Amino acid sequence: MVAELDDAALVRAAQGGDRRAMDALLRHQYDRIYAVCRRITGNDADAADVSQNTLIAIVRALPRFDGRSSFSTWCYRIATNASLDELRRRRRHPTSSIDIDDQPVSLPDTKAVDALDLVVDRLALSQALERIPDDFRVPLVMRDVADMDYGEIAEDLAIPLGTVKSRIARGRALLTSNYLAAIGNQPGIDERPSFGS
Amino acid sequence: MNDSLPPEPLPDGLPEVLRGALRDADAPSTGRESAIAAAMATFDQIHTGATVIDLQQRRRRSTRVLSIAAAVVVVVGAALAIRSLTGDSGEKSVTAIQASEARQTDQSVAKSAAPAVAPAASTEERVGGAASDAKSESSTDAATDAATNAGQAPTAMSAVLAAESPAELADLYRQIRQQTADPSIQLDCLPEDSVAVARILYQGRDAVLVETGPRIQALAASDCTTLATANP
Repeated sequence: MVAELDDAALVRAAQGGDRRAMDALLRHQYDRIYAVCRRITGNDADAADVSQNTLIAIVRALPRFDGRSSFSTWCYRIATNASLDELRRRRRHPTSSIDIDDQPVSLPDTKAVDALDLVVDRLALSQALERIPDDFRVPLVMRDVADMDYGEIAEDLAIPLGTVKSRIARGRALLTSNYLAAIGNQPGIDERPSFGS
Repeated sequence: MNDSLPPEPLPDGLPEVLRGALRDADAPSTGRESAIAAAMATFDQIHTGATVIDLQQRRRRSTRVLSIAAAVVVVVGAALAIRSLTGDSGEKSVTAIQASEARQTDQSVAKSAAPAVAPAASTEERVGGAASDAKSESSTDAATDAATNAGQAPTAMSAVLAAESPAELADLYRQIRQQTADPSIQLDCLPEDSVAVARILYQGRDAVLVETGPRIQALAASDCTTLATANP
């Protein structure tokens, strides 16, 4: 709450042209913005570029920020959209949502999940996330990293609310299973081959 | 599209330990600083109408700027050598070198030079309009001469620089600082609370370079308009 109040004051100052306030806001948000971009784009180089574009977009759009959502959520939404633009530009994977949503997903072993170490193997987690198709990974990141609500995600991705919820659930299951597989606890689930088929 | 599938695989969704790790992607500090610098340059452009010079443009200029900086250093050295040999204290050409460091590094030099050293505000008058077209032209000024005439070699020099553009000015300042390891040739740096200020000219006006941490900003002294922002 205190951070939100601070952000609100900084936003007002930055909107009034206060350079220090703008700098402080950007520094405060950068790490999570980078995380959103990194988790969606899947690599560091693109994440760095998209993060920079996001900061520039934030600066340009700040005069229009009306405070209806929190500043951080607004920033993450910009980051998400910039990352989606990058994905669309790359066109790495064709979209075939009907096939994707009909694919069965195995649930991870809850005992294995319970036994997850507190220290996460970050490389294994990144690899596990990258094995998840964009259509599942993106809403998962929007929800669990960017803290966007289901409605915002549905709006930004132009898909129904129910689809958003199901894809997030599937994404979480895939991520957990793939991560457990990556650290050797159980077989993983890789749905990427189903794309384009 | 099948929107009814599936139920949440886990009661609490993504395990918190994984969610926390997802949110921490180890953002590289270099990328952070560069992204923030770019965004702040945009901010400056919006709020001050300042010219923003991008990194690629600066790099293309670096060779030319280095040449200018080297020429400045050579001319300063030559001028000093000639004066020390001839002891000439005659007419000085305008623009460029000022020995204001004497007041910091050598009080006796400063004292002897005092009558000839104009206050900072008058430097522009002495330099006049020649600054804008005198990129490599330089000479010693009255303070240097006073010090020389008093039989004391100046312990430090400072320079008033002229450049074609704010970005060139910023680059020139930085490159000269890198090139002139010899402490006897310095810009007019006045350390104040870890901020180095160099007296320079831009288009015949006083301008002040402010160097703060890894970033350099060129500010016009009169209205504090940002002229250029650059990363070293």
